[in-house]
Amino acid sequence: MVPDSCILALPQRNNLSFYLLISYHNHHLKRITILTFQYYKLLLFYNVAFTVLIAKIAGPFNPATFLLAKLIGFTAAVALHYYSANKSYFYFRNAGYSIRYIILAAFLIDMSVYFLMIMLFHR
Amino acid sequence: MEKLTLKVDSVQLSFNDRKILQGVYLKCIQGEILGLLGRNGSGKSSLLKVIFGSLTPAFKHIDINGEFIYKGYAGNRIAYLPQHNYLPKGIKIKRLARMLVDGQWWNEFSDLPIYKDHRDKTVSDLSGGELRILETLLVLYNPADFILLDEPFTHISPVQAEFFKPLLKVVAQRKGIIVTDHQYYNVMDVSNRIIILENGYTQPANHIDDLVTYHYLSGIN
Repeated sequence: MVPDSCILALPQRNNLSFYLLISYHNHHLKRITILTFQYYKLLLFYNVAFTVLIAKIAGPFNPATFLLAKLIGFTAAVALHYYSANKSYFYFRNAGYSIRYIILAAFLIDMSVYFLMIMLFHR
Repeated sequence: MEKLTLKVDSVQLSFNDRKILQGVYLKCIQGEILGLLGRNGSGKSSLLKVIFGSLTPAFKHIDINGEFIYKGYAGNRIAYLPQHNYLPKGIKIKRLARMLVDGQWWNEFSDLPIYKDHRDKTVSDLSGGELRILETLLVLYNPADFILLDEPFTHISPVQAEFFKPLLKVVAQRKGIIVTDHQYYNVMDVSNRIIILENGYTQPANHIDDLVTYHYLSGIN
């Protein structure tokens, strides 16, 4: 015979574990979001500058040329930041994250910007 | 609470066929400060970077209580103060600090005068000494279980070094700390144990004479 206290205790413990898991993921998500935007801010000027430059060279605005400009612009900004300020990568590492992970997350933001601009300006 | 032990063994690191590290063994237990001494180019900074995970050697074995550690920084297991400045420019100090400081110790950290005076500034607004102190404090208040300090005394004044020493000892009550600096008297002052890195091998220094034996000092005055 299982005591009532055990039957009641199991779902409570599961609820607590679930709550802790969700809290952990929310905390992690919040931190990675802040760090990614901080990194994206460091790239912003050169990212925009390279993207506009490549877009101008590539010709009339359309999704394909703008995607190319965005990819080259982002890659060039990441490369320039790597050569000029890679010592700041230790900040992101000390926050507990790999710089590759941060760059990947920043790339996803950049692609979101691309899709937003295509939706707004391409008819 | 059980104290964690960081073990580093069998690190093999070469640059252009020159063996930098080959016979490294060290152990650091939470609650102690381990001093790491060695001549220029002996591989001290490389060893700390290998432990931290930002430098990949040909082989390494690093574990914390038996759990293999591939990248020390992942999940805030190990924090590292590099020789150079590491905080990114263009972001306010208070935003950077929020990402690095352990929430448990936030109130204590945010009461420090250097933080209160500069929290709304960016890295470019600080002097070299102020920035170095702030960067060191951000590493010491990190939630990591182990802290690696590469030349924490070098770019600061003697008065500031005297401020750091008791703080290091307080932090070491809850963390394991490995510290290296050419100001060996400061390292010896704060450390519980000393290890010398020579020709890629680690040797325990039990007495100040060992610093001469292992060619770190030419003599003792």
